Amino acid sequence: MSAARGPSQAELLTLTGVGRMYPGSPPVHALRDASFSVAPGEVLGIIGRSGSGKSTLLNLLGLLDLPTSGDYRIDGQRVGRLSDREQTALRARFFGFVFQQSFLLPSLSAQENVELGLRPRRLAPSERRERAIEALGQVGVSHRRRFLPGEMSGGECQRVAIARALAQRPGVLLCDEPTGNLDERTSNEVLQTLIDNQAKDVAVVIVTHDMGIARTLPRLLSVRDGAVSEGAGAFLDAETLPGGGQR
Amino acid sequence: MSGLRSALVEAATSIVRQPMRTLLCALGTVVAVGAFTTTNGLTESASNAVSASFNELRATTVEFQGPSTLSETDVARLARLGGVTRAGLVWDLDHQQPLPVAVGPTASGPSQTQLSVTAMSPSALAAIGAVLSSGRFYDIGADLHHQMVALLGSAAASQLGISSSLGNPAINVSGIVLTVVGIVSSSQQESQALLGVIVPPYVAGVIAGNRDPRRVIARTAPGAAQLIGRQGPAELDPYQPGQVTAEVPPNPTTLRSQVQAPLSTLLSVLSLAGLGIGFLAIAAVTIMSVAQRRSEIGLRRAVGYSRLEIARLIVLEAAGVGMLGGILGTSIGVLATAAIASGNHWTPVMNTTLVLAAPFLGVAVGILAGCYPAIRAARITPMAALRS
Ligand SMILES: Nc1ncnc2c1ncn2[C@@H]1O[C@H](COP(=O)(O)OP(=O)(O)OP(=O)(O)O)[C@@H](O)[C@H]1O
Ligand SMILES: [Mg+2]
Repeated sequence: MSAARGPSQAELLTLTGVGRMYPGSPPVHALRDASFSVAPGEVLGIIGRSGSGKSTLLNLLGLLDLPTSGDYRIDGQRVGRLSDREQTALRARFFGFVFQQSFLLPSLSAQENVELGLRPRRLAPSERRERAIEALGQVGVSHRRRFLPGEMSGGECQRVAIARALAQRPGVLLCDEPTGNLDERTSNEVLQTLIDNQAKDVAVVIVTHDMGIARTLPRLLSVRDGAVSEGAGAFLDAETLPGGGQR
Repeated sequence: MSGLRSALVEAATSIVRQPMRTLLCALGTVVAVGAFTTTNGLTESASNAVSASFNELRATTVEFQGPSTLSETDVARLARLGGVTRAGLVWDLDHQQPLPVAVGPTASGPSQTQLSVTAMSPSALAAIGAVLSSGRFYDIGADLHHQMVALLGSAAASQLGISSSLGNPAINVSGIVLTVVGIVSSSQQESQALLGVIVPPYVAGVIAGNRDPRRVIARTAPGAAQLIGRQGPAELDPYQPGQVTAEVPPNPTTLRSQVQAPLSTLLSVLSLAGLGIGFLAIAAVTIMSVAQRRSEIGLRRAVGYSRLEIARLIVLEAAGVGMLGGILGTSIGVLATAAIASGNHWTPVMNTTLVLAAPFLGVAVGILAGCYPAIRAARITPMAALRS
């Protein structure tokens, strides 16, 4: 089951037997015994049915949540040992997020929303502005930079959200169904934007339940009932077998 | 440092871009600071009005009424009392009946009018605080030497067509020729005397005899008026002190405190209650808005805002709202004070320190009220917020 590649110096994120259990009665094991690694600049898709634990995994990767078991290392540092302050600093410097919803602040313009992602960095205002404008250009919405989210289409909002993540120049870009709300054509465009703009050395992890999208990605992980496996196999099995996912 | 500036900018943006939320949040503070400023302004204005009508002058003036036998000698005895600074004899001739007065040495003439005549000893001129617009006062020597002189009130002078005492014009009062030595333009007391002719005691006797009841105007040291009012009659008429009555001013300190005490109690109760309401309003609305902004806060945490930065943002926003409420409330308070005061014919008086301090008071209330919501906001985990 485990498709972990042995941890090496080259790996950026390394998970060893990582699990996440939500307490309750009965407790939910949203993720169990996940072991894999992500190299710098790697593009990785995570595929699985709804409720299989994809978001749980992505949130753990991005330090929005902490594992309840196992060992997760970022660039060799054990996450479990980090203080809240250090985790926050890592999120600010190291991770960029794109969620299913764009989560733009409605009272801020597109550009201000992008700049928001840079505020924890303590950059000079001029540099913050430059980076924001550059990122908006990369995703092709420069012409909307003074628009409020309410004045933009869903696709444009999502591009602004991607620009917010890109402007942070993260080491790892974590995308949780970034095209979930968009039609097929738009979602392909948005996705292409993501992959095109993935500079060298920026790893991209994209969660999706769309096999069409997943097929275009160089590497895939499947999640099924909280269990992670390399390749799309487990996902495809579950799709074709009756009662799949109830193992 | 740049972090704080950035946070200030962000808080200001949040306040400005959400005017309805800001206004709702500030409402309590507006009311509180408004009530505070208004009550304070009204207290100040009211007590100022009290001081104006019961000023130091009236508070230090005692007037005695006595028989026509009261003399300068009696007044001199009163003046020796500790606490009396000046005292003088005053009386109205012929019971304030106007007497015929004409310009020039002859009784008849084109400019004859009826004017009241008041007798005043030279010391009385000082006691009433008379001010000359031209010429000089008569002195004790003039009275002793039976000089036939007079002063004109400025109103009477213009009625007679005399603009200045230059050249000592002559007037004729009931057939007696008098030399005008000065024109009195104002006085702090006995202002009705300015409407007529003022003459020294000897001249008064010549014109109307010595039948009229006398008044003694005494100026006292601050706070001595009540005492002089009690002791004065015995000094003025040792044998029949009952014939002399004293008119003392109301005690200004008790009066002022009578007006001020309930107002300052009202002030402290109202402003405390108001600040409490403002505090609760800001706290409640901020807690509400933190709940509403869970996903915003979660996003900020996700992109790397620390707990402290989240808390700081919420506190700064609350402080900004408080300041806005303070400024708005003060403006309303100042306007309300001006309106109510002028309605009561008071001069509106505001404590400028207070007016300048009100925005800071608002900031203080905002910071205090923002603390608890800020702690709650800082506890929001990015996960929980982004899921909802
Ligand atoms: N806070 C929580 N408390 C309890 N259970 C949770 C919590 N969050 C998620 N779960 C459970 O964990 C499992 C995995 O959830 P997760 O959100 O990771 O699924 P997913 O693969 O992202 O699904 P989707 O494609 O619908 O987004 C689900 O069964 C879910 O009910
Ligand atoms: Mg999900």
